[in-house]
Amino acid sequence: MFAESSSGPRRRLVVVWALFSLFVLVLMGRLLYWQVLRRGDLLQIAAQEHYLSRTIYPQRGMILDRHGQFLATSIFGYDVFARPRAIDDPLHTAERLATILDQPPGDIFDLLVGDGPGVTLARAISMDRGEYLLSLGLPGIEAVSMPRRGYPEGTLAAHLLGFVTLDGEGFYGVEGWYDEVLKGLPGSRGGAEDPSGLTTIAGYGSYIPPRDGATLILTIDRTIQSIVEEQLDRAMADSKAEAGTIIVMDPKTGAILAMASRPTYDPNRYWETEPQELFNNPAISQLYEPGSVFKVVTMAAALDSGLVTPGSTYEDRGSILVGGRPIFNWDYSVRGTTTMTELLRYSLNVGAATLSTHLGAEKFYEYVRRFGFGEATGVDLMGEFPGLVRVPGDPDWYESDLGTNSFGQGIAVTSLQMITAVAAVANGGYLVQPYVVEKVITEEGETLTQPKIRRQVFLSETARVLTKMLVEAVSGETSLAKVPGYTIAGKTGTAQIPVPGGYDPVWTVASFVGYAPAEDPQFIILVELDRPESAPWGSVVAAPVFRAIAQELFTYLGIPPDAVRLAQVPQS
Amino acid sequence: MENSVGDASSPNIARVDLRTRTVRVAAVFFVLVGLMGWFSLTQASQSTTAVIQLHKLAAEKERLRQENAQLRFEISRLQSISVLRERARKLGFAPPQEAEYLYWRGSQSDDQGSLPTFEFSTVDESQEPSSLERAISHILVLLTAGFSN
Repeated sequence: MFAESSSGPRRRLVVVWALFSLFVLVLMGRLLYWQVLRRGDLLQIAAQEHYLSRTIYPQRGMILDRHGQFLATSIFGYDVFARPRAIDDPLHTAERLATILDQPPGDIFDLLVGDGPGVTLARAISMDRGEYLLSLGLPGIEAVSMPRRGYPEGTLAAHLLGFVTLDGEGFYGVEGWYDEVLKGLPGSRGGAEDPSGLTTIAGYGSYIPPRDGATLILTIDRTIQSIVEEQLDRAMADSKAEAGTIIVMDPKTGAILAMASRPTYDPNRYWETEPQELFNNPAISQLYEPGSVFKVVTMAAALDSGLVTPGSTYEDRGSILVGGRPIFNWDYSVRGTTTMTELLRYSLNVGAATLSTHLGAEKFYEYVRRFGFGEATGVDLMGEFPGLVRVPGDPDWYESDLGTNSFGQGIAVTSLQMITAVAAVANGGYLVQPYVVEKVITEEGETLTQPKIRRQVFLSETARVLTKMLVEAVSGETSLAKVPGYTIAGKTGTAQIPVPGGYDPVWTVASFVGYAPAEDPQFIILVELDRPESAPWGSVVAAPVFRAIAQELFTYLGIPPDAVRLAQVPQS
Repeated sequence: MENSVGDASSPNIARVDLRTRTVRVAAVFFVLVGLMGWFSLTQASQSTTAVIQLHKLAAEKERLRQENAQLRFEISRLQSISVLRERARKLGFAPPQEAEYLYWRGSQSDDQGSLPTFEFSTVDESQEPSSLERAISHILVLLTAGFSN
């Protein structure tokens, strides 16, 4: 009995001990599992719970003009968000927000009573308004500072600059072409936060500093740009044109000094632009038939190939048949025996067609190609079009095109192509690559853009002779382009606008391309006005715009008149 | 008897000594642990304070960077060409209409009746005006070509 009673508790003790040991073993096993085997996972979960990595946004690179004036800078604005579930009094909150966000209270109220966990109320509001909003401490309303783009000159050079979206993506113009260079690299700062949001532990040594974007120095001169835009606005008002483009370029280097188009938009508020086609830069993307300006190309080809000299003559009978299609002079005149200089002076279509047919299609189109038509100029701007040139062999090329192309009909070019081609005459025969960025400045140093010659189009002697003929053309054809005291070379253009089935019977594209001083050109200007109402002719509406700009440029650039500049002073 | 007493008291003394030593060791242990805890807490506290300060400074730096960008934009906007032009107009300035160039030909008098006509020839550098003549010419240009009120 005693033996039974003493072995019972012992057995129970053994059982309890065994159970306890088992429990301890299981506990140790679980501890081993969580603390050793799953340690990494737990650390990761803990880090996700408390660790916070904040993005440090880089400053987008600035864009300056050639004299260091800001054209685009980085600024900051507040994006405003709401968490509807955390808002106690949506009506009151909506009323408070309405004045700050400049939105109807009803619209804001609708957003605040929505079902979503979060909603965006406004983007890119000013720093002042954002900070005031934060100071109110409205429950459920958050404002986060975000980088955005500012254009201190407003609409000035809008097409050339492009714009940056609220998400930081550059589009069009310089902003689009140099987006990767400008945007920089974001950094981050890690840390652990306590429940109140206070960072308590500098997290895991993860501080990556942001890398700001490169600064771009443009070839643009904001004063010249301003002169050009003012004159373009005036020309648009005077001629009642639908649209217009002006480019000013250094013909020797291809550096763009100014580029403007109308209608335009404000890149500071790009989202308000309607229609969005306005974002396209017409100077590089809008194709048009150049009209008589193209006779410069035809004449250059004829002179350079030795077909004619300025004094060579042809018999102008007022019309010529090319490929079965009759071609007439623009004024249906009959000039009789006419020199090449007179051909340009009176802008005779029959003469141009005579030259192209004598050159032959192969040689004529070879020169057209060498002038850069049908291919992009390679300018460092986003959205350039290569133009449209039909050549023999193309299914839509006809023999009559050889005649019409000679005076700029049936061929589509951009304004930049046209000015670059005429610049080849101004600079001695070289096709330069136009460019707008003079210098790229990064943390590593500066990269200077070297002017690039794409090819020699014709002999420098041809350029010299043709310049003299173009001086004569300005003197005779369009005296409205002349600036007293200065020698100007140039050519007008009046082109019909192609429409389905032919050409528009009323509207034209009026243009003028000229450079000065003719013997040592400091600038070349292209003026192009679409559908002018006051007069259809380039010599009437575009040439005076050239003169007004050239007049101001002579003063601004300090270019003395020929008499002073070329005066020969006896040495004492 | 003494021995017996002595024998009897010796374990007591040893027990007292052992207890005292244990208490001392425990006291030292607790003091050390306490010191270590205090040191650790102080370190953690200082580290946290430093981190908070660091973050405050970083936030302040970021705020100043943003303010700097904002001010740069404001300055650029106030110096924009449209603002300058408007300000100049209000002050009564007008754009220059035409520059008058006065050319100084030096002390030698020569035939100035007809100025050279335009030719497509490069000007002979030996016959170009000297730097002094150029400088005077430019000064005259600046004097006559500036803003006219």
